[in-house]
Formats: sequence, C-alpha cells, structure tokens
Amino acid sequence: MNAKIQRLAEIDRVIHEPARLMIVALLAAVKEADFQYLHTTTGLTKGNLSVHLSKLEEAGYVAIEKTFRGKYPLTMCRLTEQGRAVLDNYRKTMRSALGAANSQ
Amino acid sequence: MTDTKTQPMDGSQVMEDPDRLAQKLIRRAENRDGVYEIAVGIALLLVAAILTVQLNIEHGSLLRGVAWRGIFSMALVVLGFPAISLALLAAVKWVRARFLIARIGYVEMNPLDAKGRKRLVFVSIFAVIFAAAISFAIALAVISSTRQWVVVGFGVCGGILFPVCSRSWRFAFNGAVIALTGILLGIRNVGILAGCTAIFGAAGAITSITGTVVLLRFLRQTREAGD
Repeated sequence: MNAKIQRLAEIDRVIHEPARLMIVALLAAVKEADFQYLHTTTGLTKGNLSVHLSKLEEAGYVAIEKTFRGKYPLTMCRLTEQGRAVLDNYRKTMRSALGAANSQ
Repeated sequence: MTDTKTQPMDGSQVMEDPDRLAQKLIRRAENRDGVYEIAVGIALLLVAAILTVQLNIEHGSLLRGVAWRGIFSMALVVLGFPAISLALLAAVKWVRARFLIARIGYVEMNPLDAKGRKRLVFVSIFAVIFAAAISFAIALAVISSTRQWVVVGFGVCGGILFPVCSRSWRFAFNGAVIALTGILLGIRNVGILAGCTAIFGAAGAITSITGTVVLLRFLRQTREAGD
C-alpha cells in the first residue's frame, strides 16, 4: 500500500502543474484546438498559456502548428502520443495513490 | 495570472478528475456564446410549428380520415425532427466558423468511436420512434380531449428535464417558465395537442431570448476584453 503512495514521488512534474494538467486534459478530450480556444476555455491569460504550451511542447507532450482557416491565422495544438501516454500514466498513478491513501 | 473576464479553475478542481474537468470546460465553452442555445430555441419553435400543422389537421382543414391524420402526423415527426436537428447543428458550426472564430477559437472534436456511434444511432432511432408513436396516438385518439393532468405533467416534466439535459443550472429559469406554462394551460383546461404546442412554443421563445441575451453579452465582453 505504501509503495502505491510512494509512486507519487515519481510523478511527471511537467504534467502535474494544475494549469498544464488542465491544458493536457482538455487537449486529450478533443482532436485539436487552437490557442484562442484554449485561452477562452481554460481562463488562463495569453502569456501564461503561451509559457505552459511552450513547456509542454519542449517535453514533447503537445504538438503546435501554425496554419490558416480562410484568412484567420490559427495556432493549432494537439496532444502527441507521448502526451497521451503520460496523461494515462498520471491518471493511473494518482488514482491508485489516492485509493491507497483513502483505504488507510 | 488569469483572465478577469473568465472564471478559471483552481488547482484543487484540476486534481479532482482531469477528464471530468475537461468535459466541464468544453460544456461551458459550448454554452458560452449562446449560439447553441438559440439553435435549441429555434428547434423548439419549429417543433411547435409542426404541432400547429397537426392541430390544423385535427380541425379538418387539411386532411380527412382518422388513419390519414395519424400517418401524416407520424411522417411529419419522422422526417421533421432529424431534418431540424441536422440543419441546426450545421448552422451552429457555420455561424461559429464564419463570425465567432476570432472570439471563441477553433476546435475539432474527437470523432465518435464505434461504441459512441452505435449508442447515438440507437438513441436517435428510439427518439424518433417514440416521438412518432406519441404523435400517432395523439392524432388518432386523444387529440381533442382536455385532460388537465397530461398538459400539466408535460409542462412540469419538460421544465425539470430542461436544466437536467443541458447539465447547467443556468437553464433552471427556462425550465421554470416551461413548467409554469404547463400548469397555467392545465388550469385553463386547454386540449392536449394545443397545450403541447403552446409549451413547445413558450420553451422555444424563452430559450431563443435567453440565448440572444447571452450572445450579446458575450460579444460585448469579448470586445471590451480586446479579444
């Protein structure tokens, strides 16, 4: 039981930060979304969102592509396979650790 | 660190369940501009229009013969409901892509998996068959009866289902108006079909109005925010 709780120490810190977790969770629920959608949906400021997206891109969890829809410029963001796997792993670790903590 | 015009989620909510939080955020984004709400209002008004056609059949102005009335009513429902739903979904997508993309951004939803597609087909078929059967029964048998409790029950159930189906407390006001309409029509001893028509009409009108108010507020807020 303690081993499950101790696994929390190995948790991915890039994804553990609440704002980044919110972005990753949101991108996991959609195929792709542009910067403006993430900005309006999460409530983060543009600067803050930009910094978090850069960190996620650096870690390889999010792919960012600049494109157009008609004349409107879009900065499209989508979760990579690696990002999806990390989120799944994070979810499992948290659930098992919280379950173990609750049963103690 | 957060935008003052929006309501950010704090860390504790994120830790709750990321999947549930994502769904909550997507639902909030869907309702934020009021376009979807206006579409629902228009759909309800169109349903009221279909029921008005049936009401005319009842008065013998369009079709004679009980069986023909039932078949015509059923055909209206079977063809009308899916056509209205599909057309309005396409219209919402077009309006957002054409006029609101700079304010709300662009999102491509995940395609439905096989299980989700099956469920959608099953629910759609069930809904159309159920609506057609009710329509057929009303057209054949109880069209001119004045059973108060049916109209009151329809209004109250509709009023409760409205905020529940939309999963938003914001629609509780619309639900209350629908329930109140049902109760008032019941007290006035209005016929079942006329009562249902009025309830759908009231629901459509109030939802279109609240949707328009939300849209105007959204446009003003995003302009003030400089988005």
